[in-house]
Amino acid sequence: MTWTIGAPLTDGGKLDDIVMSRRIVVCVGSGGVGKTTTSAVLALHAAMRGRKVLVLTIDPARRLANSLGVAELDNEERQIPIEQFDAVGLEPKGELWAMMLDMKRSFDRLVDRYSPDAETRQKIYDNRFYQYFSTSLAGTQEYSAMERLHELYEEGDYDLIVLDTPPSGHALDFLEAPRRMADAIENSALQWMYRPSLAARKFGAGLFNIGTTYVLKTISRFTGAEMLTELGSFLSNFRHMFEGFRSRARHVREVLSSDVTSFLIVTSPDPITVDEARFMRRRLAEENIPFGGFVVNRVHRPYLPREELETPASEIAEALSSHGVAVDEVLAQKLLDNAGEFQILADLDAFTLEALRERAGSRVAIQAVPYCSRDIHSLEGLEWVRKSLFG
Amino acid sequence: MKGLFERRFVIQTGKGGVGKTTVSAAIALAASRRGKRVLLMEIGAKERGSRLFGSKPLSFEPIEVEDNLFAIHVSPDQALEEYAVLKLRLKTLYRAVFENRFVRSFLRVIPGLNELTLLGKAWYEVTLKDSSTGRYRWDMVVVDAPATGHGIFFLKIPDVITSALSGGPMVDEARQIANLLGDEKTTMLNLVTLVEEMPVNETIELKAQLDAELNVPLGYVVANSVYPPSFDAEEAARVREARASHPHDGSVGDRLLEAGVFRVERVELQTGYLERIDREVDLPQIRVPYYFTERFDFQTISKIADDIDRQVDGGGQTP
Repeated sequence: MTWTIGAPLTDGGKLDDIVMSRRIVVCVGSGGVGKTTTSAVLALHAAMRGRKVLVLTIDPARRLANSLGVAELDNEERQIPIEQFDAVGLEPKGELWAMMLDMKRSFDRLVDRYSPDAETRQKIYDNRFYQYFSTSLAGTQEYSAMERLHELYEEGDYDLIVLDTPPSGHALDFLEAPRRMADAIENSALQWMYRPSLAARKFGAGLFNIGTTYVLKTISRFTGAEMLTELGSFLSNFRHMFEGFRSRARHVREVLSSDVTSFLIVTSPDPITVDEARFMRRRLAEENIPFGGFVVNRVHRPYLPREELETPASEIAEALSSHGVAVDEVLAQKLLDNAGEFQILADLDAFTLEALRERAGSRVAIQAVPYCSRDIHSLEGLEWVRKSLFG
Repeated sequence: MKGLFERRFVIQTGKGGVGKTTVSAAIALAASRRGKRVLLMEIGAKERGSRLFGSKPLSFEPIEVEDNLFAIHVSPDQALEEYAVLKLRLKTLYRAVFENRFVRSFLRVIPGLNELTLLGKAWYEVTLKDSSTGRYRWDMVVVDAPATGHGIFFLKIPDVITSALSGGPMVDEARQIANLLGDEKTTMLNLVTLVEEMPVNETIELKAQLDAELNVPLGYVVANSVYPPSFDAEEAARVREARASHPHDGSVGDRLLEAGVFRVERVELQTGYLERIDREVDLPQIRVPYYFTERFDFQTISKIADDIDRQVDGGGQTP
């Protein structure tokens, strides 16, 4: 397929270099931009080129699992059978593995691992808060994903792990998760609930001027005393596990900041989404995280320059009819109108991409994937995207 | 069953990026054009409504963006403050306790508190009556719910709280909200989706989950960004044929046919998904056409409001 686009598409080589040389590639981006597909395509590429790759997804996109030849992905690593590749005429030199992270089970695993003793573990499992909220409490999803990534990386079974992260609109929740977990558990305000004496020593006056009991009483006018007691006991049990959490989080952070890792930001050409993508890039820089580039999905391809769209329908009808299929003026006009409609979108996308390119600087890889007339949900589809990504 | 414009509490849900804000704004506009006094309530981090209505930024105080159409943007902190002041009846007490830094960070980790206060704000507006007339302040409250990132966590929170706790103020609140959410005469939940593989799958799963786990009356599946066909069946066949026999030489004719085939294929694909929604989601459909436009502004919202209004009169579309 031949087509061109406003922004240069010369960055496939940089992406190739990233997926061939790194051990971890993390795809981040807002919701609905195609992170899961991009992650699968990157993994497919490295597998085709000879690496043993695991793509770790959090998105329960069953159709993608099916298209990879596994009925359903679950919390275990599954290899994509070679027959699936044969069926579409692909010959991977490496191996492609996939797994879908089950948040609840991953979190249970953490509790199993870090509980100091069986009693604490049982207390946590029995806590009503844990049952209802363990997967929605501040940052726990991201934390579980990060833990699992670290575990798989340390085991060293794969040349490359591609991580598809939970959608993040504003900041890089994924990176901030450990800090937020720390905030939630070590939080000074919480400590006065389950360790009032320590908190008082640590933070002195301030809050205690108005009186802890009074504050708690006021809050309990909204929440009820039961909520506070349950929360207090949950956090108190959880605290025992926290040392393990924290040292692990520090490790993961070191790995993610090192040159074995590269972060890619996936976006659509929608200006609001691109703004979010640029914001994420700034955040990555602030956190000293290695950034590999932008992948821009679903870019409308240009069809014809404006002046060509002014061609009279009669001329078009005549030219097209000379190739054996009769095209009358009415249909010719519809074809012109149709191309004109898509050209509006193509111009908008090209404009957004150029602005991104200008601001990002020439050294940043920006790779556009054209909007496909079909949905990508088969190995064949992934291969189509791979070709447009890597040339 | 009462129709969309007879309900007083209309909520849109769906995955991020499917157009909940647009659809909510258009429903609110359509209702206001029918003479209803409407409150459009945006929830979440980003304020988007002002761009659609060309108004000043939405805030916690309602502003009239069109005749009879008021809009607010609510953050969890603001909702909590309003609620707390209402409960404590004393602003100074609120300030002393809630504006303390430690208390703030503590409140942030109380599970479900954010969701509950946001829903509580919606409940407050729906049930609010003018003291002089005894009539409801709003004929309709339209809520643009947060994306269903954590499944249906947002709408489920009243149920979760009533089952997790045995009593107390949060439980009382939650019960009141759950009752309103479950009231067929008042409430309608619409599912917004794009007609693409993943959003459609997720909508089917969402519907099953809603049926199994939540007692909220469902209204429509709103299929957003549906391409108008451009070519009828006979023309579509000719476009394909012409494309097949034309050399791929980059000429004007070649490019026009390529664009034509792209449209034909996308429309076919979308038709397939619309049929699939119809088969697997037992709800009437509203179809919102895609508008090829350089600026997505009030003009576009206005057209979409008309599109929705027309289809609701006919009881929704079936393919």
